[in-house]
Amino acid sequence: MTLRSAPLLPALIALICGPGLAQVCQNAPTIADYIHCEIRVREHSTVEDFVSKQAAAPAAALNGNALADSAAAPDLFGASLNPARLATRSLSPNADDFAGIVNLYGLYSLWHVNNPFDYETYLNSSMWRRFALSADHSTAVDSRSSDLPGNTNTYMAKAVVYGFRDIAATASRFDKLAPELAGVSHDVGEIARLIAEYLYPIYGNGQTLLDFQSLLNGPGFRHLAAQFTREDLRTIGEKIDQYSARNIAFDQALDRAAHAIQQRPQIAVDFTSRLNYSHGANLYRGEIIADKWFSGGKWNSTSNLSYDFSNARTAATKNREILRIVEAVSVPVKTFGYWKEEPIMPSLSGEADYGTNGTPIYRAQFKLTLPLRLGWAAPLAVQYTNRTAVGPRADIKASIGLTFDLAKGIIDASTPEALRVKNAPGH
Amino acid sequence: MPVQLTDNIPPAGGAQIAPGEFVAFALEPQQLPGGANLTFAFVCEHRFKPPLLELNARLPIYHWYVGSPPPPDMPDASHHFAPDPLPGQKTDDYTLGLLFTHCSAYRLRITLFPQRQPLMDTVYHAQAPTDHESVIFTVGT
Repeated sequence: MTLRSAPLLPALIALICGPGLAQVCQNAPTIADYIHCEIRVREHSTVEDFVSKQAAAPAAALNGNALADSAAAPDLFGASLNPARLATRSLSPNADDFAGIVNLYGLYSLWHVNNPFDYETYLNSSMWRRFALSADHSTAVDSRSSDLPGNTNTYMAKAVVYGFRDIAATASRFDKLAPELAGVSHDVGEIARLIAEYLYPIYGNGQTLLDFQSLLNGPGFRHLAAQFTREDLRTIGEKIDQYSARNIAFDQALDRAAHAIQQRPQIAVDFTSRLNYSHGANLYRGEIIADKWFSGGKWNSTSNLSYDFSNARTAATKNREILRIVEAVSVPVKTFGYWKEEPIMPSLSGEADYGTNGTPIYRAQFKLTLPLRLGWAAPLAVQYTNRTAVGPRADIKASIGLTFDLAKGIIDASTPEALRVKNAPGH
Repeated sequence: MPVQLTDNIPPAGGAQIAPGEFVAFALEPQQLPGGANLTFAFVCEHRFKPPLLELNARLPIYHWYVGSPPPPDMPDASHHFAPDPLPGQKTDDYTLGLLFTHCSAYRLRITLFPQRQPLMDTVYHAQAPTDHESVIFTVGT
């Protein structure tokens, strides 16, 4: 048994180094793979790839900077840090927060010692991606000015109940493209014949045309391709150009179908409990999250509707039942340098809490999420609230945090092949 | 792309077919726990509208033949195509297109009959759901 390694992602190389390095296709195992590789070089992806996944602490966490919870969780593991030192002092809780979120797909893959980026693993077990667990620990650093004195732990269990962004669950969306496969395959065969007719007089060496074509169709191609001259490559390129249009359109249609799955509207439900280690109230939250992209991925809306029960644990305080409504709008903005590839994500959020035993509380937040490299991001948030739980005074707070998405970090640090996996819905 | 190829028997890429001989193709999705669809098209250089074969269905294996008619007791013996080279040509190119949206891997075996000579046995592993692959096989008449 032999493994014929496939070519590296030539489109990426061409993107970085220019089309001249498309000669990497000469490592293709057969002429058909060479043609596919060269066609990929000619393609320009029209699909953007923004997905909002909540690596940050749950919105209920004391010093978290997410006003709204997102429906999607990181694919494997996420973490966030919100140190009190990087937040302005305020009446709102001043605490050091550390949170971790684990996707059950990541746990499942770890348990079975499977590579979670492997397509076969993904097809077999992607349903686990719908479930995520997160835990947050807040260490209060200034309990006198905080409305929730003492340390707290916040736990969240979340499940996507509608709009699975999984190809395994939605593969039938590609079926309308299947009839195109005949024309695409024909064109690859046609290009191969044209190339064979060109190369045969040069490299035929007395073989029959059948033997020569068989050589090109099989593993002998790579040896022959190593001998191609610049003139050969130019002529072959012209022949590929003649019949590449249908293949390019097909690849782009596949990418668009994958993208549509990746940005499907999504609804998730979660249960969150925030438990105070001291005499502060405990909070229990049942929540529905709706997440939708608009205008072909140009902006995103996340809505939360929750019922909160705040369990008072002192005689001086009262239980509260709260209807909480949150709306967050995000717009990915490409700027310069790294942020041209990974856009900055400004978002504007508003929250209204209507509860028993108290007047409504309104919050507004502006957040700028700056993607850093290797899965890290820095959210910068400014939040206003008309009153806190301890009194009728308005409060404003600015904070800087740090989030980490392991799957994104691995992809960022990995090979071009893994970057292709990035385009798979869910990764 | 890129699709990874694992050769159990490296592909011959083509075969000369004499009268009475035929080439047998067997395409098998590598099974997932819930089964998997075969999504493929099989075309000839001048017979692709409609294609010789086009399928998107859940099957354990699919057989077809190019050359002389196979014996009726062979699986799917009715899936038979006689070579039909263009005028003036002695070879006929066939292309198999594979789509991996329902299935992460396919195994393709090609055998020359009646001598039962294996011509290829290769497993194609996709790296992403949007991958597709072409396999070209040339028949000499």
